[in-house]
Amino acid sequence: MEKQLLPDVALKPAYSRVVWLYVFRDFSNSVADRAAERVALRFGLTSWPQHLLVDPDSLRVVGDTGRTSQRFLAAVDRAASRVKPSRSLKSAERVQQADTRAMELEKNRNVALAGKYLADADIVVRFRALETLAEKQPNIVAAQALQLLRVPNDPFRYEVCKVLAKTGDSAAADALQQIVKQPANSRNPNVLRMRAVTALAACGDEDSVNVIAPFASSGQFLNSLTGTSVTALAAIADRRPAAKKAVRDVLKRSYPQPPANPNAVQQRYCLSLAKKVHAALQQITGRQVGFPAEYNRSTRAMLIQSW
Amino acid sequence: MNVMRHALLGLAIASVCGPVIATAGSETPPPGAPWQRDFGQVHREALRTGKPIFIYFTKTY
Repeated sequence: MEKQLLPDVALKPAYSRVVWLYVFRDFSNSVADRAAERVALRFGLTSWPQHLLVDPDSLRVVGDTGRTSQRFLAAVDRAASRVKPSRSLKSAERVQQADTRAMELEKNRNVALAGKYLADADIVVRFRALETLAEKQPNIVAAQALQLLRVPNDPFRYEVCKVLAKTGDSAAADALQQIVKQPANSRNPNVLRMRAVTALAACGDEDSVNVIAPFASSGQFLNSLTGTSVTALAAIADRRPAAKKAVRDVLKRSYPQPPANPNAVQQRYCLSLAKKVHAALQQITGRQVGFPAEYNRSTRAMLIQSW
Repeated sequence: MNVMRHALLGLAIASVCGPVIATAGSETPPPGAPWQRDFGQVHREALRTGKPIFIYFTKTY
């Protein structure tokens, strides 16, 4: 979309109505890349490319620019009418001071400093602290997981989930389940759910099975959340024998229904998910059941019967 | 070796297609708009002038 839209001369009337910021990440961890990352973290970005219209005072997103020049200009009009000149530069000064604290942690990944900054008022500083603790003292992150998972910022919550997937802290299961049920304030709810489900594979219990079940058995073979949910259920069943029967019942329902006339991509993804479900069932039951040479509606029904 | 191959391929494509227009994933902003790269500077300018900030986030692909 950017290829056609942003160089379009039809956007010329907007040139002087907004201030244009270009944020490019190359993931080199250079000084410039870290500066770009800090901007992305501030706005909770986890996927690229993105367009945001932002109020400079509150730094809240005030508009969606759409994919056409007409929609872009209309969004700029709406946003411009909501933003007024500010008498103070306090908002910019706060961000600058926060950036200085964040850079301090980038240079010195010190656990004591990170512990202090984990409760900072600024999300970028908190993220840098979290990153440091995740690497050096993940138990500190796990101990505060309930509060940290409530922070309305996707990269931050992804990082907490990553830690929990390693530490397997069962006390965080409820908060993770809440995210799976309702990934509030997320720009990328599907991926946030995936991260929480992956963490539940290590932290979850019998109660988690019902929460994950609708995603495992959705039949949406093109959505990575489906396979992630299947894997997580099998892991929970492995750790929690009491969950085994419920997991088996969910997995039986999770063999995806093959589409009537699948294209090559659908066929590949559908088959891959079916094999994943099958392997998970074999893993948790300890039984070996042959997988059919051809996976179709009829062999799917036979597979379900065989468990 | 792969990097070298990609670089040579890029040069070959550029020589056939002419000037490369900046698009998603390019280190160079798209042509046209008065792009800036320093968030602090942009933030101050937007506060002073009462204009929204338009941010285009992109990355290397």
